[in-house]
Amino acid sequence: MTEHPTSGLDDTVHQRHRLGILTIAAEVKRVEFGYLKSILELTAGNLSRHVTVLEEAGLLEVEKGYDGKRAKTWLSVTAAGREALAAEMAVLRALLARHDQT
Amino acid sequence: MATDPRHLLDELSALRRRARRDRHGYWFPFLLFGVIVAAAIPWYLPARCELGCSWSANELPALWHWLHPTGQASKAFPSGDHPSLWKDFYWMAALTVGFLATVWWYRWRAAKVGVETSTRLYVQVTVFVLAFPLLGVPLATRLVFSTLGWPVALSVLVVGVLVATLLAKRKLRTAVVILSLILVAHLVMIFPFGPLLVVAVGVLGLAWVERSALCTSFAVLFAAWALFVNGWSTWVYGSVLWPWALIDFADLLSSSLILVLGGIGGLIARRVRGAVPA
Repeated sequence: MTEHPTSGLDDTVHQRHRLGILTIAAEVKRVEFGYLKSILELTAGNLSRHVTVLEEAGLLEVEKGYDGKRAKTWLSVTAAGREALAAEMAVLRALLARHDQT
Repeated sequence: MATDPRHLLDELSALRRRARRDRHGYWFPFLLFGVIVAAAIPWYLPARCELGCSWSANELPALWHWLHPTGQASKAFPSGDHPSLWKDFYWMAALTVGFLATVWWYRWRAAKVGVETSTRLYVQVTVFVLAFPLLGVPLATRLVFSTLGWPVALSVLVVGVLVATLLAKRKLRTAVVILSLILVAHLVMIFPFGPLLVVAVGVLGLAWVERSALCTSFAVLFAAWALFVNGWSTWVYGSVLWPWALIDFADLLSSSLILVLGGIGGLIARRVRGAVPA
């Protein structure tokens, strides 16, 4: 019997906003905290919590700096983050294919 | 919040498209290089010797024999055109400034928009085709190709690149790209409009990192046109009765026009897509 696709879901990644953060970060070299906040329509505190989870899991790198006098936080996806995102997308597609068959 | 996988995947695709759209900034380098190519036209205006005037390449400064990225070294000058070191200087300075301005533009834009496009590939390929014709090709020609002869030296070069790629555990396509860039660097020096090939490599590199259909279309069109005008001016000039200066003017203007149209297209696409929700 084949394993159900949901067994491949990663609890750290399988969360809509974290998936959104990883998807955007994987598309660009670096993404700024404020951009994510506005695109994902999250509060700074909420986004910060998701970023911390992803950073602690080694899926995101956080770089703090300044643009003039303004503090800026840049995020970039790690190789592990790219792999985790690809695996999650594969699981979602497999779930969809299974759903369409039934 | 979407929990259905289909909706979630759709949502993530929309986010990816939005981020890609926001980071696109190719319109600026296309316009910039369009202007750089158009501004080269005055350097190609006829500056001929008086009838009966003769000159020899040996009279030219020693630097000219090394720095000739505009194909003047191998171009025949039956109509009396005097090769110009200034033309070489113009291209080297303009291409370097264009390259630095492009890298600066992407960084500036990232700070403004909040998403940064990686320019690493663009930097790698452009620096290669800018520097290799000036240093690598003359050195390789004098030290390797003249000593070993072309057939042996070429085989050594191909095998060397392949082995180095395998040792670095990179894909075979990396070796193909490196060998193609070496070929382009060589053509830059022998084709009359070699600098157009440098621009072509740059815009193709940008198309790769931008992942935009419009940018790729104009980059491929420009690269094909740059090859065509170079081939045309190398092999067909002699059989054409039109004045050289007119053909040079048309070649540069048409090349510039493709880049400018690509830049304008990118600007329009940005505005149109900006008006449509992702």
